[in-house]
Parts: sequence; structure tokens; C-alpha cells
Amino acid sequence: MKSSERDIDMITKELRRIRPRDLSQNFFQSLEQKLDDARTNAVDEGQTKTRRPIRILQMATGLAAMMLIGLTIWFSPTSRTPKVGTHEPRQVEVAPIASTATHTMSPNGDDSTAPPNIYDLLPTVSNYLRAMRESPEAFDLLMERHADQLMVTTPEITIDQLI
Amino acid sequence: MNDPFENTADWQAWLSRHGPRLVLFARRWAHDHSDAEDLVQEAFVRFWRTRDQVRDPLSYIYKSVRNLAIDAARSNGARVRREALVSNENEVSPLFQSPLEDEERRRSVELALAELPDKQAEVVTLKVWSLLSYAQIAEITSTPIGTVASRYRYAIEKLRRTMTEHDFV
Repeated sequence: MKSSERDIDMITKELRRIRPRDLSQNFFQSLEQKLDDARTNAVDEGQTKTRRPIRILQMATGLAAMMLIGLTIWFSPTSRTPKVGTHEPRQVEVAPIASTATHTMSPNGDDSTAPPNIYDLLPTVSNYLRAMRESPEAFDLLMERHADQLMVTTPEITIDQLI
Repeated sequence: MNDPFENTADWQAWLSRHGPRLVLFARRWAHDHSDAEDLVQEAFVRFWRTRDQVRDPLSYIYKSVRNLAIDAARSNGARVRREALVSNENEVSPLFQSPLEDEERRRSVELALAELPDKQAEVVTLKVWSLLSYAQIAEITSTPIGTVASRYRYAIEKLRRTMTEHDFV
């Protein structure tokens, strides 16, 4: 037989005559501590959330800068590597040095189009090689031109080494 | 709308009223009164963090207590069972407080509750001592209202029989 509504109410009232135990003396003190910890953690989380976009921005800026540098290097004319089979040897025009030994001037006095004078060449190895290819006279001419600037060093030799 | 948790005095008054009932509910899973209080505190802190978004604080905290207690019971199951085996049954702290003349009634109710199936005891605790509606209990236990009502009816029938045997009704 199932209980009627009246029975249920009566039993419920009987059960309610006993009460749940009270909270411990330190319940609220302990809870306050936990709430304080939660507040502190919430503040820390808030600060982390604020810092996160700044870090993302810094990283994005750094990445963009690196990409810009990379693209600049990639598209610069000196860094381009020709593809295999499409390379054309660079044509370097070498002015004849011997012929420029005699300086010529245009009628209007403008010598900008004149080939470089042998006396104007610097004492570099490439210029000496160039003069050598041209003629022995051109090489001698260049040597004379830079005679006062050239210095030859020889290792020091002792008497013992000679003996 | 007034926030009943705006200042310390408000939420302490609120917890003074509902805290003992919440702790009683938590005792379904907790080993003792102290563990049950820890569960209630943890549930309250969880509620405190999101209280702006909570529509029904009481149901929310009961549900949190339930979820936390079930999680804790799962993770500490082996330890709790070991402690239960070594502990003396007479030393288990009481669920209720009663004047001395009602001491026998208290023990009888506690034993009768312990004999109920878990789901029925849960509904009885929430209905009798927490004074919650069937709808609230249904939400807390994630159970249809009809099932809650029938569990309550069956539980009361068993309690009535037990208490009649002990001449308390």
C-alpha cells in the first residue's frame, strides 16, 4: 500500500524535527581565506590576460620585421642567383690601357667619355693583371707610376741560416 | 536586483541559513563533517567566481557540491574505503543534531537513511531538510521531475515503515 499525501506530510514533519548539524566554528574563517585566494588568483589571471595581447603584438612585430628583412635580401639585385641554363656570362668591357696612355680631349674640353688614363689606375692586383694582359709596356708604365707607393718586404735572414 | 552576496555580512547570513543543509547533502559522499564542509566551501568559491552569471545560486551551489563530491569520491574512493574499514562505526560523526531526549530518534533516522538506495536518500535529503522543490531537485540531480517525485514517495514509504517499527511515528 502506497503512502497517501497525508502520510507523506506527516513523515516529512517528523523527519524535520531533527536538524542538520551546525557549521564548524572556523567554517567562515576558512571560507574567507579560500575566497581571498580566489580573488588573488583572479587578479593574477586578469594580469596574464592583459599581458598576453602585448606579447602577441611583440611577437608579430618581430616576425614582420624578420619577413621584411628576408624579402629585402631576397629581392636585392646582388642576391639573385640565375637559374641553371639561363645564365649569360657578364660582359665586362676593358678599356685598352695602352691606347689611353695618350690622353685625348674632346674639342669642347669634356673628357668624361675618354678612357681611363694609365696614371689614374690604382695599384691593385686586378689593375696590374689588366695592364699585363694589355702589354708589357703598360705594366712597366703602371709600375713606374706607383714606384714610390710600392714596398717589397723580404724575410730577415741570419748569418746562421746562410751558413 | 539586490545582490545577496554583495558584502561579507550578506553572504555569511545566507550561508548560515543554507550551509548546514548543504553540508548534510555533501555528507552523502564525504567521509566526515569536515570533508563535507570543505566541499561546500569549494562549491561556494566556485559560485563566487561566476555569481554574475548564475540565475539560481542555491541550485547552482547544490549542483556544484554534488559534482565536486562525486569527483572527489571517484579519485579518493580507495582511500576512503580503507579509512572506513579501519574506523570504528560508532565514531562516525552524526549527520544531525538533536536534544538529548531525541537522541534515539536521530540515530534511527540516520540508520533509516543509510538503508535507503543512494538516489532515494539524495532526494529525501534535498526535499526534507533542504526544503527544495521537485523542479530544483530535478535540476540538481539531472533527473526528470516525475522520477524525482516517485523516488521521494518510495523513500518516504520505506522511512515510514522503519520509523513505525521503532515507534517514532
